[in-house]
Amino acid sequence: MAGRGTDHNPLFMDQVPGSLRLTVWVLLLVALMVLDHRHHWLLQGRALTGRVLDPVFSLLELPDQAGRQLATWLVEQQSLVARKQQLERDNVRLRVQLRQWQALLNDQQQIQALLQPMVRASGQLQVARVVALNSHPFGTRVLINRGKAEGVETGMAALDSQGVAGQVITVLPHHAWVMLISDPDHALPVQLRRTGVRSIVVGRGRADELEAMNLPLSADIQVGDMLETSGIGGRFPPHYPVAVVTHVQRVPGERFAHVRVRPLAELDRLQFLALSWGPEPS
Amino acid sequence: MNTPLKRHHQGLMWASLLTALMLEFWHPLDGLAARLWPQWLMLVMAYWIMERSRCVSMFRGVLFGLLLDLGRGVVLGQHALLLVVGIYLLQQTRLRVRFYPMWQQTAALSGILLLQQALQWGLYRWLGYPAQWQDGLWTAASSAMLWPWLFLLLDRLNMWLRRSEN
Repeated sequence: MAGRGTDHNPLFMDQVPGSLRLTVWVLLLVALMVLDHRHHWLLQGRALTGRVLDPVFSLLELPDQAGRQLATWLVEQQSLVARKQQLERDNVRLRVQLRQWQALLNDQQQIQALLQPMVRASGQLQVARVVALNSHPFGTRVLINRGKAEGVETGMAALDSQGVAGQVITVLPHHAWVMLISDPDHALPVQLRRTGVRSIVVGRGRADELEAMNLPLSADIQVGDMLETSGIGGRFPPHYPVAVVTHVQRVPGERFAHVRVRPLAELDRLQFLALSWGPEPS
Repeated sequence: MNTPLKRHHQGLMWASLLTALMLEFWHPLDGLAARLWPQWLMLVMAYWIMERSRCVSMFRGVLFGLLLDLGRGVVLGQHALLLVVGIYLLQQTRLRVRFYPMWQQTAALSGILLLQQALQWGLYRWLGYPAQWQDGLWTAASSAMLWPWLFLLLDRLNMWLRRSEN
């Protein structure tokens, strides 16, 4: 017990003045931030340290899960019956659609096999729930409740039912961080569905607006055009919808047009994410 | 000032710091609550610095800051940097600030909180996020409003524990 209050600082002796200690810490932390931001050298280290946080996340999730269970328990019998009927109807409809899709998929796979012998059939989808406690300041990174133990790996594409949402960047034993396409660090190779013109979609820290880069002034782009993944880079499955063009500005004299797009995935209220590998696992 | 902390002090300190960390993790995603969510960790640390300057060192600030960075998925070192700067400023001024009347104490702390928010704004801009400087004002203001109540609560708990031990 004695001395507990004084041995808290293993790096510096007590004689070192506070201003010097502050300077050293600030320099160290700025270096850490630059390394982490620019080179992502520490991502692996982060996963290791994250192992400490994994149980903490599970603990923090408890109140949310309890609330969810209580809500389920309180749902009235009647609405359950109505819901069951609705689901049965949906089930039939979806089964029929699935048959149609399977037929289409067979055709498509045959065509792709002819065109691109390297294309890998899309693997099994892993579905994860977005953990509600996520508190990234701009909501551009989310925590999901599937991790290494469930087969999640760094680099997997995260898709919601509408379009591409992001990719897995850090994997913990039972959780993983997903960087959304709205993150300023995220770049996604895309193409215009109508014309096939290629571009890169970059996040701006906002859930409702992204930027399409490297589109020449002369490129044929219109408001309302659909952008889809091009599959270049191998991270994302090709031809998956990404965003719709909302704003095109061409400034004479500049090399590229300013193109703003709206993501199809509902990035600010994601609930479930499907994780899948792109055509070439890295 | 340099005497080691009593056991109940240690317990209360760790409990309050961990609670503050949890509250930081529970940061709401959007809406008014998200804007006004106070800087729990800095406030709790401020209390313990004023109570015993030695019990919240810069090292502990860095440790908690890094935990916060990892938990919130932001660039490593961001919260740690803000906490270290805040802790340093408080340690330098604690002997005066501690004996100020409450409103003056709150004003002095607001200065530090505002500086942290300004730093954070700069960092977000550097990282490419569309940070608004008004948001920093909101957070600093709500944190300052919370300070007297948090101070009273922790002080009461502290005194109650001391009395029950004797």
